[in-house]
Amino acid sequence: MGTTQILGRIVWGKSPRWTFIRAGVLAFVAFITFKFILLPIKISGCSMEPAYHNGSVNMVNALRYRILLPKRGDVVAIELAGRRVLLLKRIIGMPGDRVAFVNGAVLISGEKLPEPYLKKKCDWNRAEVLVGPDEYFVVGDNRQMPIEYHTFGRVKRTKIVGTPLW
Amino acid sequence: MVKRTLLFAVIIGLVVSAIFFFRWFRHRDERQIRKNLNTLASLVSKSPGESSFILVGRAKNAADYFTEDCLISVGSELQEIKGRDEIPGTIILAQNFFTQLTATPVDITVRIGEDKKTAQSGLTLKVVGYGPASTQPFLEAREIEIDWQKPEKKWLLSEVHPVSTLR
Repeated sequence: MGTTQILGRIVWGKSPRWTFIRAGVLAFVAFITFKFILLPIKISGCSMEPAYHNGSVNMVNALRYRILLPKRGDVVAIELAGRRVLLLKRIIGMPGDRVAFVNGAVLISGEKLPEPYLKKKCDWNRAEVLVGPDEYFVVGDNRQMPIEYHTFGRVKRTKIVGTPLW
Repeated sequence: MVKRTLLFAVIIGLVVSAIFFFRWFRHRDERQIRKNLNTLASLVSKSPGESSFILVGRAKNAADYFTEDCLISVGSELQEIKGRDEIPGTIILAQNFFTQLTATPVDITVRIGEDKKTAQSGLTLKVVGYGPASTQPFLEAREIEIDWQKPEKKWLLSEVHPVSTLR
């Protein structure tokens, strides 16, 4: 067997036709998986520090909230106009809750929310808002930045795409 | 057998080409709007060390993509931009904050009106800017809706307003 034949065998296997079909099926499965089920993301920015670092990569499980309802404490990916850019935030307010920030503490309907995922205290203040029936209140974990530079608030349920895998 | 296979391949090729050309002509307006958005984003972007002369020229070109009485709402905390004449100055002012600025429209959707003279589009505008002193880039992603008008042959932006995904 010549070198060309050996290389051909390595590339195409015993049956080129089946290798071609297998490659096609693999490409199709990969497309479906990474387009609709596990969305690859690269985190930009520091709004979810220390849980998620700037520049790290992750996968968003887009099936989770097709089966389960989002719950308080979940980190969720939120779509904007589409899924090319996603916001990563944590749910702190559920539908019907009244959410306020008082000297850095989150008050849910008047009661302080324990937030073990926060490493440092902050001094945020924001008037109470009522979370609508199909809404969730989301915020980043990094509250060291001034409140006016942080994107947070109420988001529609339909905008929540999924949750990061790790 | 070979002839039949060849005929079959030719028919399939013709059908695929017909579908492609049908879609291509049908979505001509949508393509033009997408192209306008991408061109506008490149006109607003700034490379490091780019001369002010070129930037001013590009900002003036960018204004040609807007209607004369356009209305741009950048956010509640900032003023609205009213009219095409205000656009070049606003672009240059924004560029002055950064040594490098990249604007990228993604997830673009276009809905052409029944009159074929108006359209709406939705998109996420991704902006990455590097300041002269800061080590961390300025990152912003915002959902935007745009109203378009086609007074003559060219699609022009008539109204731009942000969508509050989180409110």
